[in-house]
Amino acid sequence: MTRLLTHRDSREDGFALIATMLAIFIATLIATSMMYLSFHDSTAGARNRSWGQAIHVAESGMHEAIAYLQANNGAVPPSTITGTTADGTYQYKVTALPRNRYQIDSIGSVGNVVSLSAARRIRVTLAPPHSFKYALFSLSDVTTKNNNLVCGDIWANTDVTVFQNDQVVAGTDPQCPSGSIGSGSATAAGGTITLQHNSVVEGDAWSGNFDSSGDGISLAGGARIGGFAKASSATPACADDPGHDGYAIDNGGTIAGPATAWGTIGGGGSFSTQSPMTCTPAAATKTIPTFNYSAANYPGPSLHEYTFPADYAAFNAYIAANQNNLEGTFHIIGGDASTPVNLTGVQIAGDTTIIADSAPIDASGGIGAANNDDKLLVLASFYAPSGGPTDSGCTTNGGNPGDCAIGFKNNFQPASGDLTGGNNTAVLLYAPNGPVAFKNNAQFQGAVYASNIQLKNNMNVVYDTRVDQIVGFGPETLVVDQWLECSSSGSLTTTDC
Amino acid sequence: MITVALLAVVLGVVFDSLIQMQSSESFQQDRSTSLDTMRLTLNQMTRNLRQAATINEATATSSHLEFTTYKLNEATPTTEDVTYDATGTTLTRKVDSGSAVPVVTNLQSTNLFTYTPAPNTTGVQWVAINLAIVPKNAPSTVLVLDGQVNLRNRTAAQL
Repeated sequence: MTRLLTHRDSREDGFALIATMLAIFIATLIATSMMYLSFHDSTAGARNRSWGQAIHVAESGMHEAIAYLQANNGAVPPSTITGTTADGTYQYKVTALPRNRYQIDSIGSVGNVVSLSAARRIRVTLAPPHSFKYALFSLSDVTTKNNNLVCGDIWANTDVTVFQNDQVVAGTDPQCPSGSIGSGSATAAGGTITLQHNSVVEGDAWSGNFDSSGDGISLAGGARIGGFAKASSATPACADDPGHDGYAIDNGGTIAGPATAWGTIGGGGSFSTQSPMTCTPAAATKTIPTFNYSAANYPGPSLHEYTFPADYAAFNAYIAANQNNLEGTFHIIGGDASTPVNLTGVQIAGDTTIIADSAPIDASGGIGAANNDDKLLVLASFYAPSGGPTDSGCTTNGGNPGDCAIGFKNNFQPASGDLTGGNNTAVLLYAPNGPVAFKNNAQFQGAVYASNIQLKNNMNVVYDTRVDQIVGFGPETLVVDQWLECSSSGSLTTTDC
Repeated sequence: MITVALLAVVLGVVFDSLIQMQSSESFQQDRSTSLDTMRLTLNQMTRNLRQAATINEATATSSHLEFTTYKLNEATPTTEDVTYDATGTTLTRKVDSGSAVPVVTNLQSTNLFTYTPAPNTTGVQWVAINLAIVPKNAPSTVLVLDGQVNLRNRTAAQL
């Protein structure tokens, strides 16, 4: 009996110890887990901070690269540059791309301890700002005439007239080259839109005034608008016409989209939906993109500067000598109507820019392409006709286009083939102070921006995105065109982003 | 008898402490997991948004964000459409026409996105994101992570 009691006593003594050890064990497990979590939180938080800072450090490198380009007139650094900020270190590399574009690759690294550090890589492309979106842009009116085709959009600050059988079509139209863009719309911000017999505006038509008949938009028989037709007023709440006497839509053809007018809607043509007596605000008139000449924007060896009239003969001699393979940049200082830049018969061989500060640019015998290479032709004339920006002296009637800022007659076709086969030359014609006129077989891809545009006889233009960003045009020389964050596992020389 | 009673008291205190520790550890673990999820989600969102090409402003609300952004690791970058949608207590992410995948649960609110235009420029320039989560093991606690993204590929972000 004594032995049994003694044995039982000894087993009870051990219970407290086991319970205590169990409790301590559990407490230790929990405490360890909490310590681990706390450590994990601290580490994750620290690494997250590094990760967040690394992108800004990489951007510091990008900003320094931009500052370098500005300070060195676009010359790229010869090698990789390394720098530091208060948060970390960066490395950047600049690569010059064609047509005044630059690629900046930058890596930002933050943190010294491997588990807490982070690195991020960005790639930024600098390019001239977007400036040219329309196939035809006029500070006044646009009038087509005799077999014209426009693939893209038209903007006019006053009136748009589409001559009989002429067409303004979307880039997807079969008549346009593959890859063309634009919706085939016509906007007359402060004027009217007139479609003559069997003419087409494949996209939207939007007017901002009315004519003597009270029409904001009028369509003759067989004419067609593929999108909406909107006859709007530039006056808030259409208060300029409380009696609905103007801003009418007179439709003798077809309007496929909704028709909306502050005035009446009629004409006996085909409609989808009609909303007469409905006020809509007109599009605000636009200004033409600005241009700032800087010799630093053009490669030195191909830059030519002439001062007219002193260098007029020298310029003409150069053109004559290089007529079959013209390329480079030509800055014409001075000049007037008596010393026009004559490009008759010139064949464009590579990127060509001609900037005439005050001389007009003419070509009465056509301009062509010397090869099938991708190239850009920019003709900019700041010539101001004596009769003002819409000088009636610049006309396509009769002989050569007269007193125009840029005037072409006969075969302005800087292309290797017809438009449907694609084009090797993109053309920008820019005349902020005077009209641009075409007569007889003008066919090209690009855009025309002018104070006034006159078209006549077989003029086909296809908007080309290559003219959208051209150095010198726009409020700034270069802007960030694309900002990408790349895989951080790559280096500055990695091709893929 | 007295010993058993004292032991019961002591064990009661000990186990109460253990339960509290376990509860605390549970909360800590839930908090940690939630924070990790929030960080990952916010980092992915800001990374995608920062290089967004366009935001669908017509459909943008405080609980719905749809944008087109560039893919990673491409020599010639192409784009993908990304959609974030907060419904109930779940935030989902969808890429192109794929299915919506839950990325965050236990949202306190579906009001996640705030849009700010830049001066002199139409359209959204900044997107602010406010992620607030109620951890399931601590209902009275709210974890908040927020961020604001300047859309680098928008005009106003240009230099």
